[in-house]
Amino acid sequence: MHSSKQGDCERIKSELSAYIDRELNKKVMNRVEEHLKTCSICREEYHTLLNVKKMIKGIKRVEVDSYLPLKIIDRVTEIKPLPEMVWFPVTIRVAVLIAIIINISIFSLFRDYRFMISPIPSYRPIKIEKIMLTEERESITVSFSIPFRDSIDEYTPPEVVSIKTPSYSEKLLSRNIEGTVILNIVVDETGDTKSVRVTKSLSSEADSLSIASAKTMKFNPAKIGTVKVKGFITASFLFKI
Amino acid sequence: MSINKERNNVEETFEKLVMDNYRRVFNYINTLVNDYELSEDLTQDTFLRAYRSFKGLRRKESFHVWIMRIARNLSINRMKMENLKRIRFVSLFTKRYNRELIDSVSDPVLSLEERAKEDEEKNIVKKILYEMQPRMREVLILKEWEELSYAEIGKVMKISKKAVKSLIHRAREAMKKRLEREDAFK
Repeated sequence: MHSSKQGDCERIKSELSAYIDRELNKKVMNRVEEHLKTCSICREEYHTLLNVKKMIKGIKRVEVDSYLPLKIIDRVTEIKPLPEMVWFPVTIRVAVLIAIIINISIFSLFRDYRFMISPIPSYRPIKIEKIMLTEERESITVSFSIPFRDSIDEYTPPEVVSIKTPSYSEKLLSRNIEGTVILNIVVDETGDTKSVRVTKSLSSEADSLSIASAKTMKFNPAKIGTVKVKGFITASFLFKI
Repeated sequence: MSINKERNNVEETFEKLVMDNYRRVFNYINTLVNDYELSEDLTQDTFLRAYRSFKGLRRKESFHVWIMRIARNLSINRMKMENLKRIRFVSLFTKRYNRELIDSVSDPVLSLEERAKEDEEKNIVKKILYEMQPRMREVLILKEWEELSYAEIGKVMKISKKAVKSLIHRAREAMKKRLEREDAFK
């Protein structure tokens, strides 16, 4: 007897949220209502959940600048209307269609197109000369970018002070590996590399070369106003043979 | 001539819809991305996108749900693009004047004093809400702020009605637990 009642409570409890939102069908609604009349535990739960709902409802919304809708309307009116279509009467449209069909069929009567096509040959052999590049050594280029917009006022991203660009290893050369490795670097308040994460990997060898180089980099730490803070920077290593 | 007239008509209806809905759209987006400027940007984009296919929307009364869905899709795409996690990283863990930046980002209009005066309890509720799982936070906002039905929420979030029901229940339970721990109930 007791256990069945407990099971009942569990079931009712799982329906309480939907009961509050009036999202149950009539039958279940009634059942919950009846149960709440008799069961004080569930009633308490019901009131707490109701309270939670009210509290969330009462959260202050973020004030929006009132110029925002004006800006939107401004931009909307800037959208150019579709060019006005001139609708010919149906008869003319049909006539044009028929004329086109007749034209095509007359054309197709002349199976021999030669008299229509100018005698210029459509393709000519072009002599392609092999361009030899002056011998250029393999290289690794490092470039940096700031991975987020400065949504926070007075935020200055970290700046690079010194880097040791890695050079191609034998292994990479022998395998002819080319491409880019992109790393996310967290710069701590003192300007050292705190952690490195690979976001685009090339090969394990190239990755570890890049990471090793990233770990020795020196930065001017990111700042908010004059306070030094942790910052992010993205470094991409371009491997080219 | 008639087309121009129609266009003006569409513009007028749309202007009214912008005026009626921009606050809710903005606030919804803000709960998703938690960044004032980005939310402003996305709100504009949302309405522009909506305007482009406005004529195709047959039932104008479902505009509310429809625009929420556009807002959601755009926000999610943008978050992927800008890798918002990093903004969060800076905004959550970087302190300025001993105050976490997340406060100043989400509530830039209020001055410090005003913010201090703000109802404490609501602050706690807001804080807890922002610490929740994004999906739970979203579903609660759609329910309590936008007052959408479960079916409508399902349409916005592209999940079934049943899933909405259980998600809301779990979200409320989670909220309850957190609030109890913070002793927010009187």
